[in-house]
Amino acid sequence: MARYLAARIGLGVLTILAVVLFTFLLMFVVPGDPARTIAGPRATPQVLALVRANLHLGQPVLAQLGHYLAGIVQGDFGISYVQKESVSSIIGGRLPATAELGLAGLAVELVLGGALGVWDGLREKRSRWLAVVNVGFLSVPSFSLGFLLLLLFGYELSLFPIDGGTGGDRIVLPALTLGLFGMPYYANVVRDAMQETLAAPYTRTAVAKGLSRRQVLRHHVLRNALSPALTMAGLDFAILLSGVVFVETVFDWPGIGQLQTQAFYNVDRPVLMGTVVVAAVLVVVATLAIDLIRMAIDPRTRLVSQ
Amino acid sequence: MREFLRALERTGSLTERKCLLIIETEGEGDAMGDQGSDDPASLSRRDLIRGAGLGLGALYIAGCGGSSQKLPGTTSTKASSTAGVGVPGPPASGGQQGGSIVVGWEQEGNSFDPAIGYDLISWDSLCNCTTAAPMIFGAEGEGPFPNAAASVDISDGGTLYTMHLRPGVRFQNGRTVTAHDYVYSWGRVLDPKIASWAASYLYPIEGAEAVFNGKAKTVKGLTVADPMTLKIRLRSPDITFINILAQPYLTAVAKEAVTRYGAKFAKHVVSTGPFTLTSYDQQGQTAVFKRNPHYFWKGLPYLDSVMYRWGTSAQTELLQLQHGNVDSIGPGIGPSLVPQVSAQPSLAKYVVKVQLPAVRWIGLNLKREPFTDIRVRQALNWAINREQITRIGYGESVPWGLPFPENLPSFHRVATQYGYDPQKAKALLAAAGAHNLSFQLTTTSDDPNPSIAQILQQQFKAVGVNMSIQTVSDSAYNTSTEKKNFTAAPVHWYQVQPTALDILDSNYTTNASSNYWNYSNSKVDKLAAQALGAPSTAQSNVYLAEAEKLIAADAPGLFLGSLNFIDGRSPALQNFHYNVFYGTYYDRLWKSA
Amino acid sequence: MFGQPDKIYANGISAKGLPLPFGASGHILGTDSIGRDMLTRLAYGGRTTLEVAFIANITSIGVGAIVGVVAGFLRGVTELVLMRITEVFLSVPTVISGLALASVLGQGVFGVIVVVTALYWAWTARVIFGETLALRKRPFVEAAIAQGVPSATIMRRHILPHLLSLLLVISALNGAAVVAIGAGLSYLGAGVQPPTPEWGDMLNSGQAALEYMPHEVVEPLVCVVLTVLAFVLIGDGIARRGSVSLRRSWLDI
Repeated sequence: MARYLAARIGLGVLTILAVVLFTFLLMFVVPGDPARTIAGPRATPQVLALVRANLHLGQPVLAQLGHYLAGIVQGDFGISYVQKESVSSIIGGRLPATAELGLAGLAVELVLGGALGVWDGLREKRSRWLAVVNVGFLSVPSFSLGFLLLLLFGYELSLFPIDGGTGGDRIVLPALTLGLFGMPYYANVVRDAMQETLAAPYTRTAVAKGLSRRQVLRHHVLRNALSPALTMAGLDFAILLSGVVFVETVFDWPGIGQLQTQAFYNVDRPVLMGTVVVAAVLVVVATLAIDLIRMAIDPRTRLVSQ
Repeated sequence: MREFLRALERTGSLTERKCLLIIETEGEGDAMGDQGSDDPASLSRRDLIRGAGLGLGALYIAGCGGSSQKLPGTTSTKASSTAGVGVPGPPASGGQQGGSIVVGWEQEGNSFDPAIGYDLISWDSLCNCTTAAPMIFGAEGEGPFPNAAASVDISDGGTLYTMHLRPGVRFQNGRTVTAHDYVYSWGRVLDPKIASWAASYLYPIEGAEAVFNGKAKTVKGLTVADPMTLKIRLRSPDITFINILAQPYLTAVAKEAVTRYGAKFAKHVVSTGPFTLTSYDQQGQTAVFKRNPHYFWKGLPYLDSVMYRWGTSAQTELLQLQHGNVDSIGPGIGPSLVPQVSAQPSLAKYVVKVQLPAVRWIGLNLKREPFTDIRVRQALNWAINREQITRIGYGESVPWGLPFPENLPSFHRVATQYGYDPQKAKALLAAAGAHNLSFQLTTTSDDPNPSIAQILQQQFKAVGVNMSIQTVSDSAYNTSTEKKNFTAAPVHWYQVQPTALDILDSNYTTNASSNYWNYSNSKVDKLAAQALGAPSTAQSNVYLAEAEKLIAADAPGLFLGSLNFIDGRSPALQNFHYNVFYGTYYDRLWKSA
Repeated sequence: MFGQPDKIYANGISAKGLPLPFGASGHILGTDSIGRDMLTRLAYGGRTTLEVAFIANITSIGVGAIVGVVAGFLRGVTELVLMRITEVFLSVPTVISGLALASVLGQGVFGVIVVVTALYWAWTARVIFGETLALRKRPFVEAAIAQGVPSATIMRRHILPHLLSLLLVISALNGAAVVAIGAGLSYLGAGVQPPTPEWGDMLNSGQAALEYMPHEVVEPLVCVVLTVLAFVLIGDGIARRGSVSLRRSWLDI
């Protein structure tokens, strides 16, 4: 187990490195010039040239990459081209709000999706109504969904504040938006896994042993049915943390997603790379965590000691 | 996979943001019909200033005549007990001290540093909160009038500007401003390490260019005659220089604060404006500006504080405005939401329409087929039904078939507009021997560009021209225009001074920085130079009118419309006025209970 | 039958500059913000949308399923390598990779399909990998391994059929997402370009009108929902016919 962990962590670092390399190079494929967004449309070519020189943009891509990697190793993610702040403090400042929203959103989608999936899975035939609701939530643009919630519960009914920012019950609507958008995935996957599990021989065995319905469900059915949902939840959490821009802008929630998108538009490469590194770390950690948790709850996936 | 979905969806609303072209904030206010009903006094007040503005303008023109005419100082002190209030805008009678307002924005600014800030929100913070330039424009672009300067004398055939500082002007830290502070602050704009976009606007000053090029340490043309007098020597007469003195980047900044905060000065600006930037919370996406007790217009500002909040979608902002969570929508009501105002009469009381000195056109690359042929360019100008385009925008723009903006003060046009005449278009195309013409339009997905592109596509089809549309990201658009690697692209321009030299010198002279069209007409270049060196605004405008006629005939663009600004603000804001160059004056604003 | 999808009707915009609402005479489903007939555009939009959604779904799920099953079944070095590649694809911001790919591939339906595949397969692979791990320990798989059945055969004959219902669920879910992606890509300058009608694009551009002209959002939304529902029902039908999963519960016998 220790060897496995060590290998996974080592490979995780390699993965992050690969992501950094890949993204860094991709950024140079995509057309864009930070000088333009820094100096604006009235800047003369001379000013643009100066801005580029001040940012060392004239250097070859590989030299810039090397410089960047050397910085990362020392924990220095650079300075924002536009905001002139250190990237780690910019991102660090946003992480708590993002984590709060990510966790809340994940909780809503897991609870709603899981409950509906279990309910549907226990039915003889799947519920057509649930299918319609699921597909509806999947298809409605998430921006519109958030805005409708804001319009209804915030503006018309005045149940929740609409002034933006964090704190108090301001989290309810954005978390609900995230949750409703994610719910169908969980409902479907859990329902599917439920049916698979209910039909499995070990369920038959458990029932034959004379266990109560509740015991069978809790110890045999749910445990197995949760496995794919768990994989999704782990990935989702990483994704939620690395940014859910549409919810952030509808609800004026200061998160990483806005940061990343604005950095993308400003061609603010240090900030963009910083958010990419955060996302990569989260994905790597989340996948490792999923694999470990799955091994814990589902003995079939455990490593064979050879 | 959801990440991508989410990211992409966001992309849509994000590209809606309208910040890339400079200073979309400006615009002042003709009410959309409702401001008058809210506030019956506003009309007469506006007439009053307009009158005052013309009078002052006349004096100024005389001043430029080379006779060292002294500009008027606080002419309005007699009109109002509140010193100076009447100079740039209407007198504020019955102002109430106290209160605070919230202004909503979509994006964080590029920088609140006067030398660097250019986008919507940054410009607003500079013009209306933190800085006070030597001169200031009236609400509708009249003037400029003295502001932090008490007066400016022009002599030596328009090459020597003697700026007398207004006594009692202090920095927000309490220190009195002297002429040395202007020498420092303007030198800072020219510092190549700062790389200010505004540096070239100081080039009229003798020796300024050398500083920016690193060939000199100090600006030769700036001399401190005494602590309250700055002498500015120009390379040659320049009719725009007095307008440049009214730009926020020429404000005085406190050297001690720049030294202390370095690159973070943008978040700790210390200048001479009505409000002091007291907090910049990047994490919480807010900035707070508190009343500056040292502000030189005594009794102003009325408000205790102005708060900026950014990172909100335009649709949410509109809800927040109606709900009272924000008092003003900084970027205004964007093109995609404007029709909502038409559809929901209840919104009307929040809306003010302002005619801007701004235009929109389709820039053409004159070195690419089919636009090498002038007849094709003219034909397409005649083929455009501009009414159809502006109709979908609910007053966001008006049909306008000329290169310079529609409303320019004391500008007498000699050019005639392109109208809608498909027969003429077909005849011109036939004369050019053009059959089955096709070309590509490169556009961003910023509203209203995609709609305009699709309408034009149909209109051109009617005259047998096939236009394909290529949507690209904002940065790809910038790159392709800058490298002149495009055939046709939508452009807009917001002027920051009342003379058409602003758009002409940036877009249509041979070496203009935004001349992406490969346009070159030596007659236009000559007229531009003459207009710049003209002894009076009237004379300058004669040259400019001639230049416009030439440009219109050459048709380096397909001229579409003159732009308006649709502002959203709470009806509780009293004495609300929107300046066509600066945005909302916060200093004379108050909020009724 | 439906007329020209790009045609802008002179009377397609009201005097106030607004689109015509649902039920307007001559334009039964109303018009869009520049005065084109919604019914015509929806009808033509279905063609593009379905083409992209169908092909991109198959390719992304195909690649994802193969990678997931191979990694989950063979494990060892293969798993480590394949799943780390998957993680890389999951971590790179999709806006950037989408744009980069688009700038190489150019615009149009083909570009969208490639981009969607490149961006989606990793997610599928990750979910399928987890399931394969569990299946690998099932007695019938272990028996097959013990008998010396070649790995490829086991994956094909014993693992994939058991994943069928999950794959169908994923593909139905992807159906809705793929529609939205087409729209997102055209914002980035890839994808299908205007004026070609496309449901996702119509959905996106109608969002600003949500409060005052909801038909611009609701109509394409209904089209997408109905189409995806059809996908779901087809998936259900196939799964029920499948011989492998006996859709019966032992709990309630």
